[in-house]
Amino acid sequence: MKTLVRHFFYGLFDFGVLSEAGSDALKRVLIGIIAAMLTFGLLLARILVSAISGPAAVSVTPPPYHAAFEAFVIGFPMLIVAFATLLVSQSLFPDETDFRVLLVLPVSRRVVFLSKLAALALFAAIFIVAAHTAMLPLFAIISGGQARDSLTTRFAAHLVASVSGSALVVMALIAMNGAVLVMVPRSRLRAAATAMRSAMLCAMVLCIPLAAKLPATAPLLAAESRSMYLVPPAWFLGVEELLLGHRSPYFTRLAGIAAITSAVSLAVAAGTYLRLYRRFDRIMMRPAHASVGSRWWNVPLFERVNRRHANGAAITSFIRMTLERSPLHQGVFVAVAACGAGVILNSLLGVKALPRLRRTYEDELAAVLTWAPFALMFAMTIAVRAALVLPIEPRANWVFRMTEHDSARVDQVEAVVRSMIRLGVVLPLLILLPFQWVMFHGQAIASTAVTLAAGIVLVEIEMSEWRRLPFTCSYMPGKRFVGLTALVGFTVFVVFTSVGAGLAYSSRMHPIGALIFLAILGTIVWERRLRRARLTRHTPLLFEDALPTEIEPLRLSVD
Amino acid sequence: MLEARALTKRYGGLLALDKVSFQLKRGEIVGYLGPNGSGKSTTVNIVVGLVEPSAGSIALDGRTMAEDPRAYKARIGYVPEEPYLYTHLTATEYLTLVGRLRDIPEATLEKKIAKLLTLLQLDDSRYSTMAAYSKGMRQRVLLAAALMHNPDLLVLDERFSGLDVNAGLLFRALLTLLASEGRMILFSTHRFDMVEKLCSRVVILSSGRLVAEHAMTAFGAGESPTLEETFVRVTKPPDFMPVAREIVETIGGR
Repeated sequence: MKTLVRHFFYGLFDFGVLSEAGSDALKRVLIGIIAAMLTFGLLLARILVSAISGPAAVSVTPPPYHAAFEAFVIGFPMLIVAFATLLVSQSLFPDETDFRVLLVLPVSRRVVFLSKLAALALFAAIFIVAAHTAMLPLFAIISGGQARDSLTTRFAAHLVASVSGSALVVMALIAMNGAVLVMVPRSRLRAAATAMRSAMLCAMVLCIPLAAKLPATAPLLAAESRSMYLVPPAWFLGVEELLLGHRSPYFTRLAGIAAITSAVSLAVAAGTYLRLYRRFDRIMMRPAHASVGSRWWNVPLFERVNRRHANGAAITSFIRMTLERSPLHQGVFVAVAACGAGVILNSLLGVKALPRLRRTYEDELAAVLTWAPFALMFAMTIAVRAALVLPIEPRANWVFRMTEHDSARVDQVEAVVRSMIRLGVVLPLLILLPFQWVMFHGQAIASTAVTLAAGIVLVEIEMSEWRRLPFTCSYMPGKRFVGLTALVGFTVFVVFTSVGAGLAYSSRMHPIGALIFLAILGTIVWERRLRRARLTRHTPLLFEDALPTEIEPLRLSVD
Repeated sequence: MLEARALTKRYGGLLALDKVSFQLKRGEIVGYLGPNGSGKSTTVNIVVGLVEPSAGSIALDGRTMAEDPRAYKARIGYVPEEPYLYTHLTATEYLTLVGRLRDIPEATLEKKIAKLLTLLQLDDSRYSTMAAYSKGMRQRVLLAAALMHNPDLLVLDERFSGLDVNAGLLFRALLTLLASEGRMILFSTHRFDMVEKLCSRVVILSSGRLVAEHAMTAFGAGESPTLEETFVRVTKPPDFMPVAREIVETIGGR
């Protein structure tokens, strides 16, 4: 059983798309993520210490404030564990391969299922321990001034409540995936599981700014607001208070919700596992008649393909179908795009009047709505790029390698850029256009045109060195120093969103200015396109990712 | 005519192919035989343009691949050793992708795909993603993809495994007919029976070197050795009986 647990545990990190070197790199990246989590915990503690001891000191001692911070300390690990579990949601249950490979060996079905559960428990435990360790300094600070209970008692109660919260997340995700697996016909299973995973990923990312606002929920807790019944970390705050013997009706109700949701999740998760255990052959081996091509939305109504651009059309439909059907690619796209939406949501939640600067609520809202398309375009272009970089069935790329030639390459890379503009620039603009129209009316036209042009410039810059066909090149994560990449990314984000918002604002105010900006941005796009076409014509495509070969000297010598 | 001229391929210190030369004339089906690691797949990868040779060249009707890679690749159809496909696509979608990459006009492409899928008995599954296909079905899709652009040279890398009897018979008939129309077929395989039934000539490789090249008529007639006997003689495989004996002893014997 130990061997099987180990096999399933390592299988959780196998996404099926990475080369051996890529898998090794992924392990390094995961270790980096855990390290980053611990650093983040220390950083939060440091920020809180500054806030408590600074001139405009924030108090965390009165019960509602303390409780609100506690809710945050419970919520953060829940979010981390949710992300980690969702990441491996394709491996939450034994699958057909396990059925075919393991059950012909003298291994009982019971051992297979128990090993899978043990591997999952081990995986969840690693992230639960790491996330709680990260939150430890913060917990120590907010519990330090509490006179009601000893630190040890508080810590024990907190640990029980918080770990229960994280366990609920794992169980809920197993329950949801299990319900889909058991209830959806196998022909629709892949599509249903992919859609559900993407929706959950999107919801989780959007929860990040909400989780960050948890310390600000003190007034709601003080007023015993019913809205907190919708906040899962608050449920486990109720559990913690109950464990500490503080039996207020409000916290008892919150704890009650925690108990009910945990019981339901556990029952559904156990039920689906049990059903799968009993009818494994029937559920996993049901004949699949996955019908995807006959649906009306798969008919390319607007896809006019002439022979000159057949190669580009091939790439465009390949991108569309892969993003539609591959859980990994769709997940990456949705998650990164949702980060942008999360940043915007966070800004919207923080909108308030600034009387000292003589800015009304409407002024602030207008500023956020002017800036929002740039933030969303930035996130979504990165999202598309990240999804395109990941391979699918790497060994099937021979068909692209066999048909590669100079003129096809230009057409193909052009198709990639066009797809990126549609998904990374046009889509976010369409999403935000109704809000812009309500806020700015007719003026929104000029600013949207300039925003579109700025977005295309961003895509051209991002794609200037692009040498791959989507999903066909092996991928090696963490090739460059992550800190440097993050710093560059942050700088580009700040510059792009600030300058872009300035241009959009000026365009709204001065329509003639908008025309000038459009002319300048159009010239930049034209020049970048020409340069890219030249480069593409003479540079072969990349089908094998490799570590950077250039050596970066440290220049430590004074000479 | 396909002409391999002193093909050599090195992977670091390993010499995978050592000055291999052979010809494939129009209307010929050439069996390309050799034990594992003999360089068969490397040759095939070079012929179809997936790997560049370290030395030597490959030419189709006198024009090397380096002269005009586009024209060269447009004349080749390739069915790989393993059915590596984009299994999230349906057969129709995959064939459309390949057809567009091969610049087949859209109107022709649609008709060809529909017809090929029907003839290869994939019509019922045309809207299913290929993840649900059996190995045999995937091989039929690959064959359709290889033939769709009407190639002059068809390169088959160890086909016929996973096919049912009827599909196997169809493949044989199809290859014979393609060759009779003047197409060249390079058939890399381990199977002597298929080579004996299909091929007009055989090239045998061992340790990266060409060790034999004969017309099929040279085998088994009168006193002449069979293909298998010739293969054993030129590739000099080790005597496997002691190994077999040791395996039996290792598992316990009786």
